Amino acid sequence: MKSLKKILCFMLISALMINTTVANAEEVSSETENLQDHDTVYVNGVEFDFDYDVETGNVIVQGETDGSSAEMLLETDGTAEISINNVGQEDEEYNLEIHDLDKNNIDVDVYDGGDLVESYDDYNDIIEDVYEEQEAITWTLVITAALIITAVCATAYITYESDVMYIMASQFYKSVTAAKEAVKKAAKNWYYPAYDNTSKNIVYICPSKISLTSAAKLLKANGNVYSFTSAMAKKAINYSGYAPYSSNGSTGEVHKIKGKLVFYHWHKGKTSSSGVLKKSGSAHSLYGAPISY
Amino acid sequence: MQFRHKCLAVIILFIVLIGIGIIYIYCNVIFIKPDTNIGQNTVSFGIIDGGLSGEHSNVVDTNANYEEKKLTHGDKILNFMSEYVFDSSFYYYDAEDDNTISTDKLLVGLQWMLDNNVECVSISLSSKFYSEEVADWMNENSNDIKVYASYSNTVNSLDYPASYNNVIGVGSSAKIEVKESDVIFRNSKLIVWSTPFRFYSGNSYLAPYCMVRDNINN
Repeated sequence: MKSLKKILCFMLISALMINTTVANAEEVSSETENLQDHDTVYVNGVEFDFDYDVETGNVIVQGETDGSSAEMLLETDGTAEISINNVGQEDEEYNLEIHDLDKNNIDVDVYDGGDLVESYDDYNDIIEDVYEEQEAITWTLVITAALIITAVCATAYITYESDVMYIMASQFYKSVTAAKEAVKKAAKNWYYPAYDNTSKNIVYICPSKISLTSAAKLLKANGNVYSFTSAMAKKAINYSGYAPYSSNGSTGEVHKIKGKLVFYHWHKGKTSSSGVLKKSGSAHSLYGAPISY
Repeated sequence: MQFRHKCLAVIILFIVLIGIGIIYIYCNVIFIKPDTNIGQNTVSFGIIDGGLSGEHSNVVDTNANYEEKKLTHGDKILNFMSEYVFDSSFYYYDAEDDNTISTDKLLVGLQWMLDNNVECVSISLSSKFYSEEVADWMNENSNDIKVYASYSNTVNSLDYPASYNNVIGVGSSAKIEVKESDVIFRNSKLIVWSTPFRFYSGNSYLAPYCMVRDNINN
């Protein structure tokens, strides 16, 4: 990756975690109403604007230097897109996957067209433990009428460092925290329609959430639903008017297929006249993380 | 237009230009009058910075080995201080290790100052690296030592050690939020009002200047 790319990616990514050093984690416990929707921060003299969309939870960061302008869109699912416009040069785009943002556990991958081009897994990758001298310029002036002119010229003699730039954004940290909270909340309350293509051994899970009642209706009609926990999966079956059934008895079923991702699940069950609980219909109430064998 | 009028116009124009120049300088430069009362001073001052190229008459004690060949940042600060306060003396800690200054060395330097009973220390260094250890040290020792630190010359929202609590940050930009105890000048260009005049630029000079100015006669 070119130096400029690295610098700007570096700059933008670091925004995700820098605030962990200055913010008390308890203070940013995802109180969405407390978030500011706009903020400005400075990095090595460069101004960066943050806009937080309270409705979507997305954050946009924009910054501009003499030769480049950069923008990052951070979405609540922990992914981000970076676009860099370089004056007189090719524009660049990167995708980020943010797995962890804690100060002690940083795990961010940068992709360029699907290729992993940079990984950050150490706080020091982002902020170096280095102290820099603040420029000092000194020279002697002779006491003459030229003093005025020289002094005026001298004021233009100031140069500014323009090395690695990065940004701080409390909003970023808060946004990610809010996203985690949203996932946690969804994990407790919502179901997702699923499509189980048995012949191809593929399970599709719709990203749009549905309520417990809707999930029960789907199961009743021999559809499939996904939820986060076994208890939720069983609850949806109970709401559909059936009892949860698994060939494993007290734990959910899982069909091991080499090379495929599979889910634990419960079926609908009905007690027969002989008093034995038997599988009824073809519905699956899937739950938990996918498993591979 | 007669020759006399032309001359008058040129003179007036010259005076106006000189006036503009003076106003410009007044607005953009901080004039510092050398302090001559250092002899009565009982406060001990310290400076933590990088290596030095040679001995300085205003350094009372230091760990520096004078390995540098060129004039260093630390040299320039000490020279500035000798201009500002003629017979000043400073404890000087060289925090440089392999051409870099890290938190570990900074902490050692701070403790060295404390062990030498230094009451005020100036750090003309800036980093975006936050260290809990340094922050804690500042809080624990705030009654024993007064720490001044330069904000970065380029505006930064993260700027340490100037941004720590119990550190007096000294800078020249109103763009970022600073602590109540911080000192923000209108710019960082200084002229020491001596013979000959010396011109200095950078927040590096503001921190030690502020440290001495605010404590020398107290």
